[in-house]
Amino acid sequence: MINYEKYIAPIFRFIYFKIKNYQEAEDLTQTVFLKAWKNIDKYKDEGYRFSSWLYAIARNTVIDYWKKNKALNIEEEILNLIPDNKNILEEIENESDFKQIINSINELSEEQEEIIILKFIEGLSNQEISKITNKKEDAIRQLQTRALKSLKDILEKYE
Amino acid sequence: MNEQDLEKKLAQLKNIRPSEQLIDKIVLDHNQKVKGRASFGKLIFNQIYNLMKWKTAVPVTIVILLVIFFGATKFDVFNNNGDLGKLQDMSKELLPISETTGDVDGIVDTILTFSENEGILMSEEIADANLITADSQEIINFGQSYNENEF
Repeated sequence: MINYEKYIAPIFRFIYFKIKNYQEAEDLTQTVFLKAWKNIDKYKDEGYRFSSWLYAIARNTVIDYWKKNKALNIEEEILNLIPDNKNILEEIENESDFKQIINSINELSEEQEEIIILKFIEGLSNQEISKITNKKEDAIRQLQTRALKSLKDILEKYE
Repeated sequence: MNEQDLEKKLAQLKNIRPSEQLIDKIVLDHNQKVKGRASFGKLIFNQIYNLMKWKTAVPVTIVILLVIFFGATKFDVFNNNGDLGKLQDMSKELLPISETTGDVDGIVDTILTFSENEGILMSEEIADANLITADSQEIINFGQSYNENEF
């Protein structure tokens, strides 16, 4: 039997960094798991890692979310960027760095943002990222180099 | 900040977690789904079991009824009037008691005839008792109904 619990936090983070709204990210995380339970037979047929399959669902769920919320107020997004729950920030060494990095990730392109989350925050392999994003591994490698460089440039701009 | 430092800082973002309530809710939802599936599976199993039960129970019942019917026909259980007729006929077979003549032989003959008649009457009473028992058993059997849960 699959232990769903260990996938909740990674899927939540993936969604959270993409939509930048803590509460909405929680709701969408729940949606992802409901979709997963409904389509668990399809996962067996496809035959790759369960986490990759969940990320693929999360990715589509976020795309659906953006389609429905095109008119979302940008100010509202920024207000929701940092979660109210202080406990989440306690474990981060430097809160200001944390905020700065999240803001910088937000300035990356959609592709680069996804690579930063999956590769450098979640620590997935290129093969797994390839499955999730439907891109070749070579493309993933190039993309992660460019994404990291872009993020570094953005951070340096703020310093 | 070099790339290695940046990678370390990015890795720290892994400490961001959803609320415990969300985790509990998802786990609870999942457990309920699993239970739901189990009970749905059980429901399907019960339906198949019931169907099989009927498919088995009906032919078995028919076979049992046929065996009882043919058995009863063969042993002539339903023909109670025949036994009764025989018993009624037996009463007619009582030996006539000869009139006493006063001599010893006549007295002995009369006593023997009485004794034989007593024996006939006794066997008649036993046959009556058996008939009553058989009748009461039939009445009991008549009140019984088919119970599908027995199979």
